[in-house]
Amino acid sequence: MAQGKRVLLVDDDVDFLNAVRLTLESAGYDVLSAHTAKDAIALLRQAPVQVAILDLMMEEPDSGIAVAHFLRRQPEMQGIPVILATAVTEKTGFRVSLDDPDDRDWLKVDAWVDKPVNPELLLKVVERLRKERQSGS
Amino acid sequence: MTDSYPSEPQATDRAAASDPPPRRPGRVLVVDDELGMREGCRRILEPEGHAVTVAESAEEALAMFTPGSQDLALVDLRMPGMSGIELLGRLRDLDPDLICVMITAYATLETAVQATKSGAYDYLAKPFTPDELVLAVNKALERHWLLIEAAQLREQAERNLLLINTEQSRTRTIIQSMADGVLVTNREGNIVLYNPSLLRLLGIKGGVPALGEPPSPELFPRELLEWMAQAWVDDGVTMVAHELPGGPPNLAANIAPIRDEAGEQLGVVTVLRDITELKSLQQAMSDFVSMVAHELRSPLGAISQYLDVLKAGIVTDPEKEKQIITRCRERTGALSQLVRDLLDFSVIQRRGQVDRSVAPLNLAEVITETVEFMAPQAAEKKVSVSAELPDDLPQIEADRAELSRLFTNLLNNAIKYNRERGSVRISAHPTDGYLAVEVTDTGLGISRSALARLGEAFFRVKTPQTAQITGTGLGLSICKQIIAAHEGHLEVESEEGKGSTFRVLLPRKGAVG
Repeated sequence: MAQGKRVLLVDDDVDFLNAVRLTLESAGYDVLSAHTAKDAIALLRQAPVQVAILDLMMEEPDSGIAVAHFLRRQPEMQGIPVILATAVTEKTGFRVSLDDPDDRDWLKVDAWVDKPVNPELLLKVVERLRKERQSGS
Repeated sequence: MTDSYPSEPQATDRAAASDPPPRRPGRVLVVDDELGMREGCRRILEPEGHAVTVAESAEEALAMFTPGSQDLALVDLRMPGMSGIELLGRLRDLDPDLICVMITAYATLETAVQATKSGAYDYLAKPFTPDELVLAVNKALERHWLLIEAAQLREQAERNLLLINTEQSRTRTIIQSMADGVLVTNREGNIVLYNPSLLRLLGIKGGVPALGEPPSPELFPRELLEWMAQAWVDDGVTMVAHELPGGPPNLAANIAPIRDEAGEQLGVVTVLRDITELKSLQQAMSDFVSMVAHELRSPLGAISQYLDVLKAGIVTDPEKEKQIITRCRERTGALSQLVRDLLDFSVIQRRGQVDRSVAPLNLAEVITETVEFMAPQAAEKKVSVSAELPDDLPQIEADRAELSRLFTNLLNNAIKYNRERGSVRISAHPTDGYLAVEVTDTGLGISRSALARLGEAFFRVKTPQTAQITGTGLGLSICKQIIAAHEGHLEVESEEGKGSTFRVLLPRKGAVG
């Protein structure tokens, strides 16, 4: 699989993970998946990815935010685009606006998608971020 | 005839009977040594409706007299043996309500004085006409009824006063002992009453509020004083259980105007209540609801995601498609189980000891049934289940349905979290005061940190191995509640990678055999 199309997918629900993996694989992506932030960070250390898709709220303290912040602290991973997958109820409870650039900057995410994720929309967002990254670097 | 009443006589009839009519018949005791006198009196008085008893001497009269048996005594002054005067004194000692009329041979001033002094109400001089006798008897009886009625009224009044006194002190004692704080202010806004709980709840330690003065802002929260003023201004709007800001936490104030019978506002009564317990219940409920929501969201999210994938036509391999549908089915099954567990959870929590059908129970029977019930699930996972139950297992007092649920949950976990071709052993044996039931598996084991949280509602051990296993996180929580309801204990020993033993200890108290 082309190295340029590798995606990290982190979610604590095994079936959600599998469903999104099938979606991404159908578009030719190589998917690395992890249930916890710890596993995700271990995977990131092994193989570079082009895009990371993170669940916002996993079991504390392994939240998607922890992975996002880890990415931003690593010089070689800083530029990896991050997509946050959130359920609507989480967004309202979170008290940050994911439409606000400042909040997005604080969250260290580049885009967000609602759960359950519309497969076509997800693929569009991933493709856009991957291309932006390629042209930027 | 009272016998003619089917059940009890009607109240109006009773009232009429106790209302003394002018010619109400009485019970008359005639004491005279002359037979003619005695019989003459009887013949005159009985047609008037009076009940007449006769005695020929003072001694005979005393022997037959009991207090309350007569209304009137007609006593001859001069008799052989004990005199009429002495008899009169003795009779009135026995029954102060008895009224007496003296019969004297000569109507002189002297005898009249003597008779009256000895306590007679009236006297009748011999010879007298029947009319004179009837008149004297009726007059004396009327006096008698009057005196009795007056005594009854007096007694009733005294009893009322006594009641009022007790009522006041009782109310005072109740208010002083109440856990709720009470503060009463009058129409001028001055304090007329408060209780120790008020001081305790408001944390007033130093200066106590002065009676007859308005509650001072130094001692009372500003909001409370404002609300009290509001209750007065608003012409009697009752404020129900507002949580008091500004004051000590978790206090609710109930403020109501006091009105007299005419509806005029006399003051304000404020009741302060500690709602710490209520608030922690509310918090627990809200936590529980958000936990339930979270538990519903994950499987629903996963199912929706799979459906979206199918709908988008992403999966073309029929085998993969079948896998997805199978997983969806499993997740909906888990959701149904969650709903069942939630219902069980709430039923067991709500159940009082009364609703529990606790009866002597043969535990071996329940365990054998449960093992049989779980057999298909064990076979599917290729896990062998064995039961070791001694024949002489003592009976215990327990709710059969609940214990069945308890062992089902424990066996379910032991099978579910087991390795393929693993084993589960359930055994029972009596120990000191308890009956121990052990469920041992050869499964994944539980880490020390997870052991501490075991049995918390919705807590599930999360490891890569458990990720595929569906569960609600309520099973052990339900077990713990059932065990607690039976005053038992749960002990868990576990080694990661080797397996776990769940030991249920159920008390043998009140057990037969």
